[in-house]
Amino acid sequence: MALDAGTLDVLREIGNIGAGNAASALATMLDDKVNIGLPSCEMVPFTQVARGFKSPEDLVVGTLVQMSGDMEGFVLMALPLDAAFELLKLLTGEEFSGNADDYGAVCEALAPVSEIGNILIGAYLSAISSMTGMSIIPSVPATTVDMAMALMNIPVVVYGEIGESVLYMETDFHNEVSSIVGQYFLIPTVESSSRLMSALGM
Amino acid sequence: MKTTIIGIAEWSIVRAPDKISTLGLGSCCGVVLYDSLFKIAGMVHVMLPTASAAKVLTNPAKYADTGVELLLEQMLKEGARKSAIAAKLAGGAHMFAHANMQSDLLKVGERNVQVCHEALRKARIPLVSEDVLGTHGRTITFDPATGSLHIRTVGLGEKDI
Repeated sequence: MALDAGTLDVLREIGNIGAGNAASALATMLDDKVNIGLPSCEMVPFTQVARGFKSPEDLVVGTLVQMSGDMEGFVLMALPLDAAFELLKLLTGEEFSGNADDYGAVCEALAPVSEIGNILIGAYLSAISSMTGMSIIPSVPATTVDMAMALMNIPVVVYGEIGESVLYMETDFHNEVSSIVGQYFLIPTVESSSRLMSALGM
Repeated sequence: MKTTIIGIAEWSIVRAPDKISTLGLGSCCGVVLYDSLFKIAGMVHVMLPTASAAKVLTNPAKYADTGVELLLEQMLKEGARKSAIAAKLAGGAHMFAHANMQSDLLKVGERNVQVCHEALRKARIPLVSEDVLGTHGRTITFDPATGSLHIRTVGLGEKDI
């Protein structure tokens, strides 16, 4: 897939706007400042798709929402385990007291992240929707705890047919003391990326 | 002794005592072909089922059908004997299986496994063991010295197949 530099710049700005709105939503929930990093938007080889994580086997909580309507594809929110626990602690006041090696207990404790992800991804997409005038319908969220690389198989499959790289559109976010850090990945299908460009008159 | 780690859409061949590994298989599949007498093993990390949809085949290691063919060819070049080659297979998970989402993209793991089976059958390579499907990521390491495929699955522990 060949996306020119101009297109990537526009997509980067889209990611920035989405993540900015999601950051405001999270800031309201936490009553704390939430900052976003510089968004990246580039073509990345398959083998480097998990480069935003400590290691390909790093355990992360992934919340996935499928987009339909004018834009098709997925949005993935990824949080390292400790950040997810910190987020829940700040929101519910409850600390995880179970055994961190007990996968079942960890998943159960982290289940509410799905709803938080739903709200944040909703904020992310509504900003993109108002900016572009495209109607984007998010699915119900699904959340899992697994290896970073295994979750990042999703963009690989979405872009796999068309080249040797994936569209890597990522924005990270963190609270003031950086006890919570996370990432959003916007994964529009190839057809949707072109549709997005025409919606913006490009 | 070293362990060669391959990434998505890559392949490699090692000889004992070296090992070969790939990290965090989700819907992707890791196919191992090995000659247990000569102790040579190859692994390919495929991500999609068939190459037929691709206009130009730039990298056969991307697809289950062409990936198996490619790996067999390379194994024979490395001196493995066709009659002695056997296979082991892992991967093909559906990472968000509980999701109420209608997308063939999310179910590609199942297709990957199916096409790996077909490709092995077509090449007349016996599939000795496999750990496929499910909803969890896997890290796999093959040891040509013992013919054992070590599998680490988050939440489900480790095993050798």
